[in-house]
Amino acid sequence: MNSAAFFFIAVLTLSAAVAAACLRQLVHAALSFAVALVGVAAFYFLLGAEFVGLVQVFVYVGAVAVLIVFTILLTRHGTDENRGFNWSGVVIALAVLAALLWAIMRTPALYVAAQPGVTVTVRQIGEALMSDYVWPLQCVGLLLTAALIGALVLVLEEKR
Amino acid sequence: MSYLELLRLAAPEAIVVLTAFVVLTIGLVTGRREAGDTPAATAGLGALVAALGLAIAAATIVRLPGHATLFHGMLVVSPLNSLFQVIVLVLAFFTVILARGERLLPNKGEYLAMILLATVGLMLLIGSEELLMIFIGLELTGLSLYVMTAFDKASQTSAEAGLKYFLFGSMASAFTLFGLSLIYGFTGTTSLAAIGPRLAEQALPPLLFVGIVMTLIGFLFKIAAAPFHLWAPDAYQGAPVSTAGFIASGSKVASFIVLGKILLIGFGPVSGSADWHGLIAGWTPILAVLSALSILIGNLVALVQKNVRRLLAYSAVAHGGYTLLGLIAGGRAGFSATLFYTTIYAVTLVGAFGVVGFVRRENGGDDLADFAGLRARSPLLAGCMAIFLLSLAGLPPLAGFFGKFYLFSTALRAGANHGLLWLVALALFGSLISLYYYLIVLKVIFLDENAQATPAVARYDFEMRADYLPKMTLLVLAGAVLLLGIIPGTLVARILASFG
Amino acid sequence: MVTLGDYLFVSGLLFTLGFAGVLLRRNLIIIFMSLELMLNAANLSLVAFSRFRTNSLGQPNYDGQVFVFFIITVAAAEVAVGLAIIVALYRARRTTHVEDINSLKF
Repeated sequence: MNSAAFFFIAVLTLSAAVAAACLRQLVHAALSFAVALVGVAAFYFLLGAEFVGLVQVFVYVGAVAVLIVFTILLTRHGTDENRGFNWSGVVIALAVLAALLWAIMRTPALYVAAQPGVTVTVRQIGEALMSDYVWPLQCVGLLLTAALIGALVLVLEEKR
Repeated sequence: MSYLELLRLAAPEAIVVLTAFVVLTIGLVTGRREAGDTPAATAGLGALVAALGLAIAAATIVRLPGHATLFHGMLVVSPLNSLFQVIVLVLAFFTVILARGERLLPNKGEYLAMILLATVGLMLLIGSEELLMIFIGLELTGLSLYVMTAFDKASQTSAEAGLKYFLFGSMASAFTLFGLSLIYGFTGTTSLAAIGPRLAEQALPPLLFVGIVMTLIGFLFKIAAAPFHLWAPDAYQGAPVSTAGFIASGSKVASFIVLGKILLIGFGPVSGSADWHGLIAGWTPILAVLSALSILIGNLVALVQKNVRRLLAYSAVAHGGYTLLGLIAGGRAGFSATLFYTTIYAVTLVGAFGVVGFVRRENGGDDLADFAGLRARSPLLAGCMAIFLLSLAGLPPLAGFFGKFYLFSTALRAGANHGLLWLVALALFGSLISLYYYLIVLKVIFLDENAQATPAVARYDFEMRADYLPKMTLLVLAGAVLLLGIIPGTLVARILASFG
Repeated sequence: MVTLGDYLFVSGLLFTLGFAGVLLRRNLIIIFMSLELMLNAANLSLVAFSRFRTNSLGQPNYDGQVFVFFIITVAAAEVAVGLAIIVALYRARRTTHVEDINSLKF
């Protein structure tokens, strides 16, 4: 059953990602992008990482995808893409793909099945965040503040 | 561990953050009454507070305990880290003062606050020996710098430069992150000190090696090594001048120190060798090839540049290549040579960009033609620029000469029977080329007549008094470059001693 | 049975898809989404590693999951800044295409 779920989610996520990267219509691409994000969240649930899965749905699907749709609306114009094909780009991408897949195939240590494990509870993660990870937590807060200030200043209309 | 302990050790960062918020408040309360430019008084007060905050933070660092490690290396206080945090604070200090000259920027308060936040990011980067914190530090620095690059809305090129910097930077972080995920997966730890032994005890799986390479790619983007340098010329040319100076100085120093720690502490066991006689697979040969590429591409492309900022950018690519030599040589000697060189380079570039800022304000541009006859208009600026450029070219008795000497001689001594000779020879050849294009700039400054009539002169004299402080700063920087060339031993001894 | 290798395989494909999108597409917003796909690929491999590396008690090594939590937060901040830059650029140039953005040249 696990294998079937894995296969289904993998096909869904990857085809949605292909669509997001290939579709001409911006809004369609953004929708496929959201589907790919949901697929990744489904993987997290399958892996027993429920907290991270929920965060993924809230932050990525809820906020990021919506923000992208907003930007599409703010900067809307024709979708015609005159593309001369970028062969060097294709070659580089294929090289990265080949290197990654070759390395994954050649690493036998990866082909182990999961131990039947207990899932990580939100409590455990919360405790980790407040003890071992309290310093990065502060810093991420600062990073969000910096991003907020920066983004606001950049989109501020100049008064004249 | 107690939260109080954390607060005590993180006090310098906290002080800079608080300063950023104070500066922001000053900008919000007093600014924005008039259209366009920030009122001069606001900008002055903001800069004063920012400079004061940076100075206090530096003083706090000096008073930290000598050694402390929190959370498996997420926050490490050591003499080396403290030394370089102070250096970064000093670079930020100069940037803040020189940014005061940039009158054209609106929202000066926010701009200064972003400089301070970027500085915090650099301090986090330097002060951590753990992958997650390194990533967060990289991102905090990166995001602040992207915003600063795109800050100048009056300029046609600023937003474009910001976008290119953002796209390349984010792609680099994605690569680093994927690499980090593989390293975590195979070693089960994110602390640099623990990664080293785990790498040593197993035969390297191919996927882990791919992870290491991907992590390195991200950092090579940050230091603009060829072929990952494509963002640098655009960012250096399009950004506000003080931002360009800060990217070239502070961000580079921090990237090199982190790269060095990752390579030597974390990936030490899989270093390999780039010796001409005995090539051994590992990260060293990869770095050696990229270093050679950077030296060649940077110097050759710099030859044909007509814009001084682009010229400095391509020469930065070449200097990145030289600086990598120390890491390739490896060991304490190599690392300290790299750190010394990158520090000197940073000080020089802050100064050079300061001069560019003055010329740009006066002539409205920073092409070579805008520098024509600078000697007649301002002997002080021309003299400072000469010192900076000749130091970059590596002429004695300036700091750049000793930096290169130290770097190249360390690299020569590193391998058995001078295995790195090929790379050092290439670097020397590159320095020779670079001398040519730096001299062209100096020729334009000292010998060419100013083609256009100079209506700017009157305005310039008028502004002289307000420019007093930034000009003094340039003079101090030029003096530092000269002094570090004559008595380099003090800084070298400091760096070596801080290895403990 | 699904192995760790299978998850990494999917993650590698996702990463390359994103990378290809960044390299080959011309529209900024699509490039932007492709960047996010690359980050998601890294997150997926982190969570997979965390699930398959159990400790002696049979508990997953949840450091990986905490890591992912941080990365998602950082990515959100990156999105905000990136989209702000795109909007600022659009105001100045009225375009979201890479080809139109070339006033800085070699």
